[in-house]
Amino acid sequence: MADERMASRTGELIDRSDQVSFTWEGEPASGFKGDTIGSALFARGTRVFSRSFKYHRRRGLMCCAGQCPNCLVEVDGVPAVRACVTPIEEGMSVRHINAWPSLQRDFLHLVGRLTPSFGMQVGFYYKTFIHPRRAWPLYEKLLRNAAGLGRLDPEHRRTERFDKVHRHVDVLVIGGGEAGLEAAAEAAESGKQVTLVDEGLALGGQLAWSGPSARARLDALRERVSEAGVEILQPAYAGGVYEGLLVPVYQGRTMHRFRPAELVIATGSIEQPLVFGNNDLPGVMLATGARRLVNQFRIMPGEQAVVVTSSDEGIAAALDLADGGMNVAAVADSRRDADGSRVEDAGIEYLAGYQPWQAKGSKAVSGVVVTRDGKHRTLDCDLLVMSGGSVSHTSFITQGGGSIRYDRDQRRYVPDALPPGMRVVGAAAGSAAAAGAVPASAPKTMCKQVVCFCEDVTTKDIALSLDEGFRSLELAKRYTTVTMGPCQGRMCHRNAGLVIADKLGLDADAERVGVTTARPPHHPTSFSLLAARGYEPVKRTSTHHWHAEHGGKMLWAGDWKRPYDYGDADSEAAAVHASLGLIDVSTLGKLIVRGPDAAAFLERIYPNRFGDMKLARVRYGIVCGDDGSIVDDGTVARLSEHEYYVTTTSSGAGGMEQWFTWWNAVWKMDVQIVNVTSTLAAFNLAGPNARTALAKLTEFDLSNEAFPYLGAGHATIAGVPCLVLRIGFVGELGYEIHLPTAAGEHVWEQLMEAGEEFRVKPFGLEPQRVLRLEKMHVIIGQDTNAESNPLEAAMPWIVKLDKESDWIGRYAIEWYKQRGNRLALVGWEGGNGKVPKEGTQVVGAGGEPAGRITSSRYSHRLGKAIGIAWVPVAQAEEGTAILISDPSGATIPATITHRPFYDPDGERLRS
Amino acid sequence: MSSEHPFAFLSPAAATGAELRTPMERNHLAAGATLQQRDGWRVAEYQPRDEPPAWIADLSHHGKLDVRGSAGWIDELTGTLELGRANSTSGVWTLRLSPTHAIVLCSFDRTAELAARIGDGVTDMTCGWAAIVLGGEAARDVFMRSSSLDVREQRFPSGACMAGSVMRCPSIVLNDEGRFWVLCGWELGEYMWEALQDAGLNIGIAPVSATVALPAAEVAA
Amino acid sequence: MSFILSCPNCGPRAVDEYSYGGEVTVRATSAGEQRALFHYLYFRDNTAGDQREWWFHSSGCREWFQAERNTTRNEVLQVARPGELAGAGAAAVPDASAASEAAGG
Repeated sequence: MADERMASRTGELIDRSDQVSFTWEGEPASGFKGDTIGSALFARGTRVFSRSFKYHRRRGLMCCAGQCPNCLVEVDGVPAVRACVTPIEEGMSVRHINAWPSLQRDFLHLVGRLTPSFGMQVGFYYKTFIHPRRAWPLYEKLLRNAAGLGRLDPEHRRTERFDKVHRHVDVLVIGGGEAGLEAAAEAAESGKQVTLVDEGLALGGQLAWSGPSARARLDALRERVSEAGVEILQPAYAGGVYEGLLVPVYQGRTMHRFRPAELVIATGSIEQPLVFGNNDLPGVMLATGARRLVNQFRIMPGEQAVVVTSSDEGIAAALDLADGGMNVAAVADSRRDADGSRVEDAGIEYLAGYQPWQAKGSKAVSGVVVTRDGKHRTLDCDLLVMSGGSVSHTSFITQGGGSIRYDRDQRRYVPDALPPGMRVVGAAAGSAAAAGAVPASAPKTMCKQVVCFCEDVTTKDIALSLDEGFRSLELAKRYTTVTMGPCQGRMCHRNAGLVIADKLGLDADAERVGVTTARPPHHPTSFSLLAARGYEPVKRTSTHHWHAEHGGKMLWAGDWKRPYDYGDADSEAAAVHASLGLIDVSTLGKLIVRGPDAAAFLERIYPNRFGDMKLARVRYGIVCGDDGSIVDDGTVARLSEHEYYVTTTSSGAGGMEQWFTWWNAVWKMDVQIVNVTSTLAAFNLAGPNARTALAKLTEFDLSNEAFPYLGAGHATIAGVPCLVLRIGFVGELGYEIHLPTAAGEHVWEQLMEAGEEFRVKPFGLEPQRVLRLEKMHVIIGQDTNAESNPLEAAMPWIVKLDKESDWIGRYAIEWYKQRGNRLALVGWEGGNGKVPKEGTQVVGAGGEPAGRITSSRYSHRLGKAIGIAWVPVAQAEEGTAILISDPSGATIPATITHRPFYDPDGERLRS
Repeated sequence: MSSEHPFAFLSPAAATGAELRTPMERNHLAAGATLQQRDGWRVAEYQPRDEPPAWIADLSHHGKLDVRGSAGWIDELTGTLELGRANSTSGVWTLRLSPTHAIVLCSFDRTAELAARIGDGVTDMTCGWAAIVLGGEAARDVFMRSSSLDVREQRFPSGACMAGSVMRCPSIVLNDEGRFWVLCGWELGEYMWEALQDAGLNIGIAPVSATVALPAAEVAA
Repeated sequence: MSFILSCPNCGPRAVDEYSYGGEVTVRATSAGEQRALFHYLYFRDNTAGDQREWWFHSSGCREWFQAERNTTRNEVLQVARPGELAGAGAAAVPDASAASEAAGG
């Protein structure tokens, strides 16, 4: 069909000299630059754009403003695109959604028609499809296929780049109608930085399609905002208003995250449909929609129009449409006492007191029956214009923390209390012009009377909901899903309220019915926009790339990437025992604690003593919460009278800094806590040959006499000043070397080179785990949890209850001591060749739970399974035989042990 | 026990036996830069080019000192700088983050001397913070794609500094005449470098040599 | 949760820059009064109204401060460095149960 447009007129949005080609259902289509998908297709004769959600009834353009769900289409594989506001682009492919096999012949529509009485009434999926029960999986599959609007193709990959920008402005104005433009201009003229967001195709809201005098006002306003330097984002829409006036604005492929100091809501009003039979037939259109087609796109929406209305807005629409060149046959006004003389003066029949009963036609509207006092009149038309008055657009007010109230004079909800920084202007704040515009209750008819166009909820559904006891709007919402669709009630909350008020015999003002809350997003929004440029910080040590380049299997370990192993965990562990291994422990948390009160501070933080430490010594310590639970562990080296170097677990680095500073925020001791985790690399060189290998790189006296176990010393290694701690948790002689990150890779390479003659192996987290376990070292967070206290966790020696100072956890631990231990953290070994899974239960003779396994590994060195477990005190004796439940159902025997599995006296560590 | 300062080992200045590397070394090599020796560091040298709309430079080899002490002493040290303000004298930036916390940025060869002059309360964080300078006409546009911090000229003019989240990492930001210094944890340097370039992809961001980020006057100073 | 909170050092920032430290509580300093100890350790007032609480500017200056916040309106009434809230009462200490959160689990 040819593109038929009326003669050119000022204010039209199309550029007739610029043709744009696209496809509709695979067939070539075209329009003019400035056309929307909806206007271009409508101009070429397309009347059906979608099938309704539930009954799959044909739907055509209704609001032409992106508010209703009637024209949702799929564009280039993206579903739920609003055709009436999306500009056409060269080459875009547009398809229908929610109809199968085609938009014209839809299978589910047939189903809906064949089963009118029980098929898809509200709650049908709980009622109709519940018997026989065993068929539910099949029903569910069918229902899931039928439900929803549009389909995401899992194979579809979007290649476009989406963007996210953080914006701070003095004033953000939502809505570019008359009130929004004025507010923006005013603010900008007073020197503020202002951004205005408008979702329309042209600035000006109603002014853009309301005739010549409105155009003049609009032109003046546009000049004002432009001169004042207002930034205009258009077309763009606010997705919602969040706490703290956070407003995501979507424009094309960009999400702007606005944080305005002031938010001006200028969202205007939204015209409401009328409720009557078949009010969703293609050809039934809102007055504003028809006016947009005529005035902005110069499209004649029909040959002959009838206007049904309950307000002056319908009268104005009739006159405007006639002025624009439409043949308007009649205006049926449900009010009996309104002034219709202007209509009659224009040569249009005016039917006072007539309300629409039902629209006629099957695939498109062919007429309407209007009624007054039981008297019907049938009017022929192919365009039925309805205007049920309008409501203020208040969604953003309530989302942003404001409240609304019902105004009896205006008969609409208007803003009440507003959060700081929010202002509402224009029709959104209420409008005197709208007074009294509430339609009468819908007359009875056999035809469907649609209330909610998104979810296909009819008057009958709402009545049924009330009959079944859901006697309020909020309950009816949940039961029928009225107001829950993409428009979030913009097209239906007023009418739903009226229907409910009518059925319950409440005040027809619907005041007592209330209003549901419109939730974000304001319009269907692509996930691509929400997910645009998501980042996940990766922490890498200074030798990260060395590991990766040498076969390290890099895995997430908290925020870090660490090597699990370098391909052979067993031989890596064996190398440590036999000769030499090197592990990157740079992820350890590292804190400097210094100042005159440093010693006293640590005495209060830790259950064990640090004030009595000799210089250049290292001591292990645990940190407890005030509830006595173990939260972290690590070492403390005293480097001078008032200077300590503290290490924490890798995951505890930030947390311990936070914990230390928190307590000092209370104690206000003269101590400084500096987190140097980022500053220092740390490597542990371990194995019987560690001393010989390290000595090749330093002049520092590494002899056992000069630098014994638990010593701390400053050594220059490979030309780099380092702090060396003689500690290790892998069971062999070891040196933990701390040094500036920038020299990390250099020192690591030098250590590897020096160790070459000893067949040094770098070892990863997994071999380290086995080596630690052989020494029965507890891993905080693995072997302990939030209920683990040091008395039960086999560390009573660390707790100095006789310390003169107060310390964190002291009183809870004193209480635990009084109470006595219930559980014990112990080692176990055995397994008869099996390695139980971590987390499995220890069971008693009768199979009852009696503890749990927290660590479990096979030690090649020892030739058996070893691990750590929590067991009741009664079963914690050295040598007790226990049973471990295997998920397979079998039980695995094991024996309790209290001493480290490997080198129990630590001779190798001290050698 | 060494007789020198117990935390002297934090400072890379004495690590004369090593070639010092920034966290972004692999990125520089992958982008075609060469590595030049400068003050013991391997510094990325990019081919000179017309200034791109936005650029980033790796200044991780710059000297960085963390200074803590009583409010009175920090006042004295910084010339009573207001919170969130920074000043620059002969190429040395001093940033005031809290009453008791300041940061000094200087060329690497001056780190030891300045640390000694400040004395107690100073921690050499040269290897603690990766430093990236984001510059060019569109620097602010890239920043707005990286952080929710308000860096509008009227709120965050040259000489303003703040600690806040950039690319989801705790960072310290300084406006140096329209160039934004971003300091983040050394271990996050490579991530930050890549993420900033991704944020600036549509804008035409490109990596440049450190010398682009530091005007000649400051280098000479 | 997207409200704005002001750090005494850094000024107004989105709440996701901070870590929440819980209610300002009063530390029990004896194991003798078991009830008082357990109350301190395990009970929170969970005030619906104005509440004093701890905040840590984890993405910023990494210092602790205190805020008085109305928990029903989510409105921050005042912020101050530790112990400096206007009208502050008894000695305020960290939330005993928050340690594991602080340590990152």
